[in-house]
Amino acid sequence: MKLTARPAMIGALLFGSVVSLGISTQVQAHGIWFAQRARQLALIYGIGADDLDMVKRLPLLNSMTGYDDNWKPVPTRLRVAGVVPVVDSDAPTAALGATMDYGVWAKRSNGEWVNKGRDEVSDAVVAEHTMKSAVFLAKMPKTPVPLLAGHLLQIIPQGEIPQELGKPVSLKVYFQGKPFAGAQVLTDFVNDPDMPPLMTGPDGVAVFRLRNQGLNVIAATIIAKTDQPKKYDYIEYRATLSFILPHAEE
Amino acid sequence: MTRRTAIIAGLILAAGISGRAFAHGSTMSHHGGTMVVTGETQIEAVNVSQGLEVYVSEEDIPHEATGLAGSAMIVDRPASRVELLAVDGNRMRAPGLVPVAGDQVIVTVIDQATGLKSFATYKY
Repeated sequence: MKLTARPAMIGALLFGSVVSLGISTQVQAHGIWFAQRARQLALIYGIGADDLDMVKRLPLLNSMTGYDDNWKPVPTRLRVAGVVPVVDSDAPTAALGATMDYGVWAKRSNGEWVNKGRDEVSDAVVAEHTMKSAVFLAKMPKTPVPLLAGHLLQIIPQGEIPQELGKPVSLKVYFQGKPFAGAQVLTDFVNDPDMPPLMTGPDGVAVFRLRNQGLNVIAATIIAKTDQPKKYDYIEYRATLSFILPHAEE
Repeated sequence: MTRRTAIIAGLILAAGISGRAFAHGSTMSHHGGTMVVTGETQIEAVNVSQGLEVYVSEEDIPHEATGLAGSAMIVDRPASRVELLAVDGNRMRAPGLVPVAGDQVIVTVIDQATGLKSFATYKY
């Protein structure tokens, strides 16, 4: 897939066309992120407080990676622990990443979404291909967060992440390795998924105040041009960056 | 375990996601070693002549070692990796693993009932 105009313009135009088709960005706006569950780190699929079935979606994952303090890979995998997949690594990890190809979905005229392309759904009003990814910072990084292999859309902190709620944080959204203007940013994907999204500036940067003295899940979304117009109208990329701000001593 | 080792381990503890001072359970040593708290799991490492000994508790309640597995390894020396063996009570041992000054040791403890894996890092 190639962007043929300035990213900001592509992003704005494509997003505009999506909106004009009557698609709520929340309909297929689920994401993946990492969060603690019962003392372990789990990979979550959902939106807001909806913590959906990630176990059944494990076959859709393209990658699950772990990194040490120096961004050196640590052998890492997911292990199904009852209702959630949890991270299982061979050594301590400072960061985690996962990517998922959620496939092609079409919305029928009756509003039902089906896991098929436009070419297979005669009454499709819209069809999309969605790609999801997640990065978790288990520790505040000592060195800049690199672009991770396979993470076509990625949120990267600019400088240190403040450790207090309400402090401004600066993040840059990259698409295919380049800063992306016009990406939609949700600053609290778990607790406020319906907020009006921020848009990244010309340099791909969004600055906002940290929302939670606890888990922060920040999501970025872009709508990119389709590479198979007979099957789907656009490709939606959604990336999350999550990290925890420590609470006060008990 | 020297006082310096304990201080360094404490610093590592403070930097970790799940080992901060607000973790559950005491961070005080019970066996003269160095305690690392990760989440609700307390892992104390003690150097003895037979090798590194590890005591595991959950919120100050000793965890029966027979229900645990794990390993200990000196960082950057994969050949040093040894399995933890249950000794008695909540005590496990990494036979023959005797860290020296400058070593960094990662202890991995796995609760065999739940699969929960905990890591503790000690710098000597």
